[in-house]
Amino acid sequence: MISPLDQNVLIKPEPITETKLTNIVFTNPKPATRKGEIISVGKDVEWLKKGDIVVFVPTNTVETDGLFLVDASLTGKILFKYN
Amino acid sequence: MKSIKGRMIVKFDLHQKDKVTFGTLKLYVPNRADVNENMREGYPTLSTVVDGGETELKEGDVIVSEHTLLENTGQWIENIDGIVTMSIPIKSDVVIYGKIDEKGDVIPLFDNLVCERIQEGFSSSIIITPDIYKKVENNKAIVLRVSKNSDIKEGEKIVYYRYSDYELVYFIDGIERKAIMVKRSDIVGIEK
Repeated sequence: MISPLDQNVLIKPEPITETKLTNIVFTNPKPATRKGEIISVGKDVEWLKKGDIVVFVPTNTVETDGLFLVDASLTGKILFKYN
Repeated sequence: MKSIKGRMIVKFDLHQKDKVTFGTLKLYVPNRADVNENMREGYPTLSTVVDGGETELKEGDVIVSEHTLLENTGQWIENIDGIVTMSIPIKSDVVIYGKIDEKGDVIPLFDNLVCERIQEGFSSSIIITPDIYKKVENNKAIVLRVSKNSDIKEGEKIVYYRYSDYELVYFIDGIERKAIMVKRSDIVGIEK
């Protein structure tokens, strides 16, 4: 298990596949944004908490074991949260 | 010669910034780009501390830094026959990797860490994976040595921005040694 440091958060992204009626699966290999659930937060993160659903920009972030470590500072990569 | 607050004074040989002799050790940091290796590896240079100021550095310590630090001629105090004395700032964005101790090991300074990259092979009880097929994780490492007052501890497994680590290659008395340097600001998580 990875513990994010400082202003970073650990995000479990939703899969990027779309199923159509014809059972053909379309996959977008490099989406501009991803949606995901926050699993844990660093000690300096105040405006996000565990369980929040956020939309973030995956470029220049750290991806490890299928999870994303994203900078949650105001100049960072998280665009908005749903709840 | 005494340094002022927030700065330290070093000296180096203008024509031989990659070689220095201290005590009984001869230290050499080669330019990797000159020998057609990875161009991404930078050009470390050596200098000797005259006055460490507020840092733990003492007179005579040998520090390894990025070459651009010593090329800032505006901060040169004097240049006597190619032996340059200069004042350098002590800030987090100034790239001083560490100092070399009496045994030839790199002691990290200013939020740097010395790490070991993690290698992962195929899991099999019969086949032993040769080193050439082992996958090197390019954003995970185990911390070997930390700088003073670091919140990261030795032995922890860190996750950092991909390609932000720096392989410092140096020779002590002709024997090659390597140290993987990672800056604290590039570390995003700890794997437990």
